Amino acid sequence: MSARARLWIFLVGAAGFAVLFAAACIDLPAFGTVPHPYGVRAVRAALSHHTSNVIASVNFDLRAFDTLGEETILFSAVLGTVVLLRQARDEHRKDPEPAVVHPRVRRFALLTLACALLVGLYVIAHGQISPGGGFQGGVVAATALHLLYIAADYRALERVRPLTLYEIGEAAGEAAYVITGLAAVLAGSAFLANVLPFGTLAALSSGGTVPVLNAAVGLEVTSGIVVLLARFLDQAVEIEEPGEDDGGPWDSGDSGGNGDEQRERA
Amino acid sequence: MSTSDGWLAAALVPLLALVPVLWRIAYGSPKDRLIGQNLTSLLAGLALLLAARGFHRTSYNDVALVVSVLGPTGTLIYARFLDVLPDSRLVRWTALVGVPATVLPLCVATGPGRAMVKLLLIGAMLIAGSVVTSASGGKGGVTA
Amino acid sequence: MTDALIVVALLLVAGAATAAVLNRDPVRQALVLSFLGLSLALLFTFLQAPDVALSQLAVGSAVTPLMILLTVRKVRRRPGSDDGADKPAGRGR
Repeated sequence: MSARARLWIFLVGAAGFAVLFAAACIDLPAFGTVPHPYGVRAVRAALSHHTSNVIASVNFDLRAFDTLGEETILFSAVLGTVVLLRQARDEHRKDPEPAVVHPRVRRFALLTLACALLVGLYVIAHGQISPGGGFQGGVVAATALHLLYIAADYRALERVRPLTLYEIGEAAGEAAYVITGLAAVLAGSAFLANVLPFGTLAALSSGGTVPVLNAAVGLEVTSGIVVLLARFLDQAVEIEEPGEDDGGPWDSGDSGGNGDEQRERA
Repeated sequence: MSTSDGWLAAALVPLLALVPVLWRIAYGSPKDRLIGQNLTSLLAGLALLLAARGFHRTSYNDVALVVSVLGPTGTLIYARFLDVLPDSRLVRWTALVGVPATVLPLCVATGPGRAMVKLLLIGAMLIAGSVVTSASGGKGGVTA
Repeated sequence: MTDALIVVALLLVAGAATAAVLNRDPVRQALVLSFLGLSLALLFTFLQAPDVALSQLAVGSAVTPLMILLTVRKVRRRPGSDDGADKPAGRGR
C-alpha cells in the first residue's frame, strides 16, 4: 500500500473517531466539579472499613475479585513469556562477559539498590494508607534487584537471584490471594469479603484484608517481574542461536542497539 | 478541594522546562538524549514535590520519592546500553541549584516532622542521582 | 492554576506521543517513551490520581526501557538482520 493510501485511510479513521469521541464527550459530567455518585459511595464504603486510601479499598475490598483477574493476567503473561523465551534445542548458552563499571557508578548503584528496595517495601506496606500498593511497590522492588546488573554484571545478578525461588514466589503470591478469598468463605462470608478486624483508621494494620491482599500481590508482582526480566536477560546476554555472531564483550566495544548512531557517525 | 496557587504556579516552572527537554530527546544527538532523559526525571521530581504541596497532600510526595530512586536507575540502564554517560554541567547545576531552591522552602512550609525528613531524603536522592549520572569520568563514566 | 498544570501536562503527553511515532529507531523511541511515561505520571498526579501515577512510573521508568533495550540487542545480534551489518563497523571504535 502506498504512503498516500495509508494516509487517507488514517485520515478517514481519525475523522470518524473524532466525531464519535466528541459525541461521547458531550454527555460527560462537568470536569472535576460534580461529585460522582459512585465516588461518594466508594468513599463512604472505604471509611466504614477504616481504609484511608480509597483506591486501595476499591481495588482490594469492594472489587477484590476484579483485582484477582488482573493479578491472573500478569501471572499468565509471565508464564507465556517463560514458555516463549525458553532455550531452544539448537541454542547454546555462553557465560556472560564480565563488565567493568566505574567505581562511582558502582557505589551509587548499590546505594540506590538498598534505597529502591526499601521504597518498594514501603509502598507495598502502606498501600492501605497512602498512594501505592502491591503492584507499584512490587515493580519498584523488582527493579531494585536489577540495579545489581548495573552496578556489576549479569553474573553478579545471577548469583543473588535463585530463579526457582522467584518462580515459587510468583505462584505463592497468586495462591495467597485465592486462599485469602477462600478463608472468607470458610468464615461464613462471601469469596474475598473483608472479614478481618478493620483496625484503626490510617494505622499500618488498618483495612482488614486489604494489607493481606496487598502483600500477596506485592509478592506475586516482585517475583513475576524478576522472572520476566530474567528471561529477557537470558536471551540477550547468554543464549545464542546457531550461527549467531558471538559478539564483542557485552559491556565494552559494541553497544546494544545504537546502529543508528553508528550510521550517524559514519 | 482547596489548593495553594502559589505552589502550583511554582510547579509550572519545572513543567515548562520539560518542553525544550522533549525536543532534545526527540531530535538531539545520542549524548543530548541521555542528558535529556536525566533532566526529565529531575524536573519531574521537582514538579511533583511542588504540586503535592499545592494540593495539600503530603502523601503525594511518595510519587516524587519513587521518581528519585527510579529516575537515576533508568538513566544508568540507558548508559549501560548506549555505552555513554555524558558529563553534563546543565544537569549538575540544575540539581545543585534547583533541588535546594525547591526543597528548602517546602521544608519551611511543612514544618518539622516526618514529612520534612521525607522531603529532605527525596532532595538528597535527587541531588545524588543527578550528580553521579552527570559527573565527568573516564570513558564517559560508565566503565573504569 | 490546576487547569494550567493539566493543560501543560496534556500538551507534553501529546508532544511526546507524537515524537515517539515519528522516530524510527527503537532506541530513540525507548527514550521518548520514558519521557512520555514521566509526563503521564505528572498528568495523573495533577488530576489527583497518584495511585495510577505510581503504577505508570514503576513500569515506565526502568522496566519497560530495560525490556526494549534487551530486545533490540537480541534482534540486532541475530545473523542476517539488517542492523547486524552495522556491527563490525561499530566495534572498531
